[in-house]
Amino acid sequence: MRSRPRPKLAYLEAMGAAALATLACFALDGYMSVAGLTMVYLVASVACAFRLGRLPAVVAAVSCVSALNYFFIPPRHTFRVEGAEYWWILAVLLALSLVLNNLVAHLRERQDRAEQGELRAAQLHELSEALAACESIEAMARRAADWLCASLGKPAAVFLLMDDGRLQHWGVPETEPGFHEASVRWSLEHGRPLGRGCDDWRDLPLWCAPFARRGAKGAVQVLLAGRDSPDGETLQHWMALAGQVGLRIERERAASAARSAQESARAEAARNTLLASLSHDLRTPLAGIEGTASTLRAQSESLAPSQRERLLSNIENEARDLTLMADNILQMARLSQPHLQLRMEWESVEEVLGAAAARMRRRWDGTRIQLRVAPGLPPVKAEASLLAQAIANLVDNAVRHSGGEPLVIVTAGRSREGVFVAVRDHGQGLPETDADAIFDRYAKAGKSAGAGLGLAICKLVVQAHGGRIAARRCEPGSEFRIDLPAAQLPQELERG
Amino acid sequence: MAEVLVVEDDSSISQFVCASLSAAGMRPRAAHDAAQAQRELATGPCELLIVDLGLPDMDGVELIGLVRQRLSTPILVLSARTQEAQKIAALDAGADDYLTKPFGVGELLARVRAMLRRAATPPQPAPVLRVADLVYERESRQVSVRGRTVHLTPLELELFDRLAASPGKVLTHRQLLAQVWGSEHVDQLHYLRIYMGHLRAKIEEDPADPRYLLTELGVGYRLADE
Repeated sequence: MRSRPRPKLAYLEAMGAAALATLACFALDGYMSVAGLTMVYLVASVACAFRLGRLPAVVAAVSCVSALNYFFIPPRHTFRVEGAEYWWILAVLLALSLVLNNLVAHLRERQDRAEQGELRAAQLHELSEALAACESIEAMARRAADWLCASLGKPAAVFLLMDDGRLQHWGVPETEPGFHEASVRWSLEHGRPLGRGCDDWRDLPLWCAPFARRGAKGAVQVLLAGRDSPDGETLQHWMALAGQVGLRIERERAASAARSAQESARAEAARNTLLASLSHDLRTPLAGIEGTASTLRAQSESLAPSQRERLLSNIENEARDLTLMADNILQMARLSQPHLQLRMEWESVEEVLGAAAARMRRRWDGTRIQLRVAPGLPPVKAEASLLAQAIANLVDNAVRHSGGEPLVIVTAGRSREGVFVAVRDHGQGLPETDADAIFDRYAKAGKSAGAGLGLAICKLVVQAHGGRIAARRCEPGSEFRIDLPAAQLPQELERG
Repeated sequence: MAEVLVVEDDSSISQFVCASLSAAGMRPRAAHDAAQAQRELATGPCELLIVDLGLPDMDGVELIGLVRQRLSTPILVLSARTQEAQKIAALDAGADDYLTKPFGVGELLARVRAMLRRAATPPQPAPVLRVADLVYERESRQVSVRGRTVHLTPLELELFDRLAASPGKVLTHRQLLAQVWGSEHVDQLHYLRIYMGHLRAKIEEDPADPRYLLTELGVGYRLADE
């Protein structure tokens, strides 16, 4: 927008313009007829119409006509006019000045309105963009309140009517919450704005407009200090802003409902897949146990002692697999809970690895499981049994994929961010496909029973401890590595 | 012959435990709930109690508390993996050892024998404790391993002494912290972790695969007894 002189200054300027035109006419007097001098005044008057507002320009027109009459129309130095021609000149000057002035003012007002409209449209767009970037309804309401405060240059707030009937608000440091809430409830109830510039409660120091959509009910409130009273167009613009806030929040609510429906459908599908794969995994060792036990009962006498011994240890091993699987199922159920609380304690990595290795040595008789633990590792915050189970799963997985003579090496040491544990096997290595996919709940490399669940548990356990797990191919075999963050020890401990 | 009372409501586990105990030369009796167990304890002799934590009529931890008020009979706890916290509570309430289901008969008999042996030793322990290559002279508080004397700091020695007071018996983290650091420190597990680490580094050949100072993960520690 162009800058305009302040009103009082504008009137002075109008008179100044007339004076300037008069000076010019004195200079030109003698070279030109009165009609020519009239043109000079006309130029001054039109210039004022362009530069100054409507009223100052009228003052300029009247001044010019008076000056022309007084100084140049005979008899000079009087306001008397003699002769119809001079009357005609004065009338035309006045009429032209006023008509031109009016036209110019009209044009300018139209331009100003267009500029205002453009600005408001831009604001509406900006608000809509700002809200689109938010990911939750709360974030959106907070963003809207902040944006309104900044863009309107006045304290503003966004209120939302919650499902339980409470009003929650964002923005505006408020001194009388009851008063603000009452105004929001009134406007929601009556479905129209209230406060300054409205039909209702016009003496309140605020303006409040409701938005009531199917998925979002609430209001936008702007606090107005002193005698600040916005005009009708401004209020219309604010209504549009309030409407935009309501629309965005409604859309976000619909989108988040759709998202959670989709998520629960996915969880349902995942649970069904899990149950199907579990029942298959459970049947395999059960079939072994039942078959072996019945063999022992029916043909005990015809079996050589060594055969009997092998069958019995098969039963024990199958039962241990089942135990590991049952533990995994138990932990899977626990770790999948939305608000899981781990029983975290200070644990020694060495002890946890030792327990996991001892369990796996019992299960995999004859397997070489080597532990290489760096001395002086700091204790980590962990739930010992969970972490031990995750490592046991990795070792179990490594043994199953080792083939021939299994050698599994478990290494632990310091890493940049804390402590790492790596489990290395010497088998065929990981399949060429995406190495991270094997941690997905039911993916399995090969046909090993229960392994998919075991690795999925590892991932959940490590994540619950704030760590990372990764798998990579080695030559030969593969390595699974867990990285756990270091926790700050509560106080300095010296060797006692 | 040792009289053993087996308090377990699952009949197949009760049967397998009783069968293996009698095959090992003991005289087991079975009780299927806490009430029956208390009647049995009142009427007959009992040298060892095996208690399942999930009893139909009473929490196993509560039963252990009641028994401990009157008797010092050693108690072995049987717990399922879902009863981790209760298992520790049972040990703190006075149980002497535990087995997590499922367990093998070898483990069961080893624990039972060790408990009976400890109960049979006189209250005044022998002046010198020997476990494989580990020698501990109680009077002079000297620890030596593989013929070499080990120098322990006062706190390490205190910790070792507590474990050596009853070799083979599991001591919970709380018990050790209360006895060595004092009852106001029972939650400061990192003390125990760090000192146990130091102790292992001095005594064990391979601290990651300890021979003497055994870990009961999530529960406590014990000193090996053979």
